[in-house]
Amino acid sequence: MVRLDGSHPLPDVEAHGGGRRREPTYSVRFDAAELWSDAQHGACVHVDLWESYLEPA
Amino acid sequence: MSSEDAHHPAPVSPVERRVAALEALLTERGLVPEGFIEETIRRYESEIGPMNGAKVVARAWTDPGYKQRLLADATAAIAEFGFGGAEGDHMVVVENTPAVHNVIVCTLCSCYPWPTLGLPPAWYKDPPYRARMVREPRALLAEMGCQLPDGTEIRVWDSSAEVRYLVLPQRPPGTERLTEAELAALVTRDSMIGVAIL
Repeated sequence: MVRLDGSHPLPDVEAHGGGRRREPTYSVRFDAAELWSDAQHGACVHVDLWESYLEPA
Repeated sequence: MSSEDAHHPAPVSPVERRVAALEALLTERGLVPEGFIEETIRRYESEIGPMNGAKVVARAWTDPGYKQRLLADATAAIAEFGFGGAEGDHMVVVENTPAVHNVIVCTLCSCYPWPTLGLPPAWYKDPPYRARMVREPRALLAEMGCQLPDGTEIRVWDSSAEVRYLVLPQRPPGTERLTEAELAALVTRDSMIGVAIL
């Protein structure tokens, strides 16, 4: 986890009429080798995710 | 397009008809003021564009205090120029160095920092860019003319939530005597997305 970006409405809930449920969002860093079996060397991907997308690791 | 085709414009597509119907309904019901959509598009197409981001980059190159503020709180530092608002409320600037190259993508759709870069180019919205930039960034960057040394680490930033990113490119060599305004003229849109180096 490289950054916590404050709390923002979760679009998955809001888009289905569930109101503005706010959740913290995080920027999470994945080494390319963790994502792809044939990953190119020396690369990483940061994905910005709402808290409920994440599981404790 | 040949001159023959020019006499036969393409028929209106179903999606264009649907958008026109939605816009007519929104206007009729008073949800969108008359001309609002056209005015918004015109502003982002002709007034707000990558020259805003270029000014930010040139100041960061010439003013170490500003660069520090920009990397610590990009939204506030960019607001010093009066740039902000929709798609620029939560900005993060990522700095290129000789060891690290940053590049931005939105794998979900086409999220992009409008107040600093304007509207996104068509290729940024296309599935091949969005898929390949996370899958094989080094190969895709090379295809786009951005050849990086083998040892350079590539950091891909997927703006898949509320943050919008801007890349701070490396200042080109031999520009020590240039003024801030002259430097801004060198900064390209692609360098601030991270698909080009200067």
